[in-house]
Amino acid sequence: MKICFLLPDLSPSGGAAVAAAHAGGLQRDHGVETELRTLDDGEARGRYDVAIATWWQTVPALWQLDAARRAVLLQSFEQRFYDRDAPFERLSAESTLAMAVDFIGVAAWMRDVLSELRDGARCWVVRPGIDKECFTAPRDVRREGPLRVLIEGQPSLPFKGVEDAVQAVRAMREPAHSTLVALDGAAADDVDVDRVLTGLDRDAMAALYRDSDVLIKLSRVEGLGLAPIEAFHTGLPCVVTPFTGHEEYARHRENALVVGFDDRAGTSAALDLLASDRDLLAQLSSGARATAASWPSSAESTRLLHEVLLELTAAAPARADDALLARTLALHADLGRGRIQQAASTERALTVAQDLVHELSLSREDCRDMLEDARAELDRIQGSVPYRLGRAAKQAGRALRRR
Amino acid sequence: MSSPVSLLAAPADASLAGAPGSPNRGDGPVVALADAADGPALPAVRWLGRAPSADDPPAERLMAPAGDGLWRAAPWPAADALFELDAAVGSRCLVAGADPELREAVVERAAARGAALEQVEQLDAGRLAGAACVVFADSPSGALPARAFAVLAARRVLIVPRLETAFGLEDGLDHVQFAAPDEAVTLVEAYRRTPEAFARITAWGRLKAEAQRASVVYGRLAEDLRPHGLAGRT
Repeated sequence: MKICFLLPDLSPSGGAAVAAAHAGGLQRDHGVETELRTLDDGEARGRYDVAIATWWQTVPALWQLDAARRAVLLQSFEQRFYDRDAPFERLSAESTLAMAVDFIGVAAWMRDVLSELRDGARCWVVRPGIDKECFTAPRDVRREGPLRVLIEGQPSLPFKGVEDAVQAVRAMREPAHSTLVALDGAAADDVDVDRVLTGLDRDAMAALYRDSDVLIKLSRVEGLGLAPIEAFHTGLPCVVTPFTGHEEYARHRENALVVGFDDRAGTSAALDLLASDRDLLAQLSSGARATAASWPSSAESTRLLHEVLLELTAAAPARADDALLARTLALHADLGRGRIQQAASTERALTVAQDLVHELSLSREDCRDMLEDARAELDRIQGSVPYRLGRAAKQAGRALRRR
Repeated sequence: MSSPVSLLAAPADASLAGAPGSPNRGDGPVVALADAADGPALPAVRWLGRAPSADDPPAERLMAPAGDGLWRAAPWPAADALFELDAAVGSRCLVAGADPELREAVVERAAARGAALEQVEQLDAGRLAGAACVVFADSPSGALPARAFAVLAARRVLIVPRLETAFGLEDGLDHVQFAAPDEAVTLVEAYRRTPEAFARITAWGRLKAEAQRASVVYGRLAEDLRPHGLAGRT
């Protein structure tokens, strides 16, 4: 079997790491000829049994390859990465769900949503595996000292909720020490934490988990959110918002505390509770390890992916879902129409305001001209003989009265 | 099913945000929705649908979607029964919410454009069951209206003003936001024109409402209010 994973580029990301781990495992353990290609790579040679896109922008490129089957490694519903000010990215990302591809999702909830959105969609679930040799070593829960809070996420991505986490730690009543760990340092300089670590490799991440008391992740958008499950393997519990994917592993008061979105007071209270109740922290740590024990290893995950690929190649090629595409276009057109009407109405209001400003400006010029005319008239009057005579007579009269 | 909390609420509010079990008088801590009261006893939590004010009935702790001095910030949960409501039939659209001027403005613009919208002062499960879409003319201090998750749980289209605090909801994915009454009407018209296109929005809305399911939320609240829980200080 020959397959390729299509990456947008080689910059580090959680999604690329999952694809790269699978690629290595398929080649090493299952004899699958595997390539990692980027959008910048030149023309591909040969035919692939399966070409797998890993990001919405790589989906169209699947058709530039000679591939018997096309699939998407669905790690998130990527239209969610864009807000209302990026309507075209949203539309493009969502449209890929209707294309002639099969799906390999990283979480069961994604398969469930996809099956609701796209009737008959084929979606296999392959949870990303964890390197159990690296993310291991049981840890003792510290019974005293400031709570060491690890914040994970890229601060430049608002939907990762890093700022919310920082604020919640800052608002704690109990002593705490905060560390932000991010893939790169972009926007990390201004984050109000005790320490920022970036670009850590797996071993360094595992050591960091072991040196922390709790992981906090307040994301709003996730496919799965792998950091908490990595942390669980080192016995590190987490405080999380109920982001999509958290239900795959986080259980309130068993291995985590689940807090509400946008609830800073509640989040700080959860952290304070863990700082003051180390028995609870130990109980959650134990729950975290139990959850980790049933999570697939990297090898198990890749073995499952291999089985999926065999099944996928045995099945008929996927067909596009024209009805879903039509619905997607209709929805985005409607949402866009609302935005455009709003923008048009704002533009009309601006035009009216601009006209008023122009009118005011003209009036001001008229006033200035009138003022200048009045001043000239005043000068003329003050320079005239009758005015000067009158003024002299008035001054003489005043002088006489004073005597 | 017994309720993890003892809920005090007006019938309309209980139908949208009540705990499972009937009546909602469990053995757990007393949670009062809005200004519901029952004798002199202080509820453990008063969960307001708007920012607190000095005139609010007393309680040991305050919750609300927005405001100062809150014990927790959150919109109301969605009653479990709403998740079982039949799919919307027809295209009836309600305008609800605590801002009567905005409500009136939306209805007025709709009338001017020939779109029928029905204004309701008090939303409840019965009215929700008969609607396909709800415009909330309400965003307390820029936050999601307290009753919004009830609409999502029922798989109805939720249209709200632009929000600063959305409690995990995503504009354009699981609900839609409007900047002005005309935009709200445009969205209603769009829904009526192609309801099948909005199925994606209601599917995501239902999924997001799961985390706000009353049995889950009140269960956690009861745990947090136990001694040595997350009670903290107000």
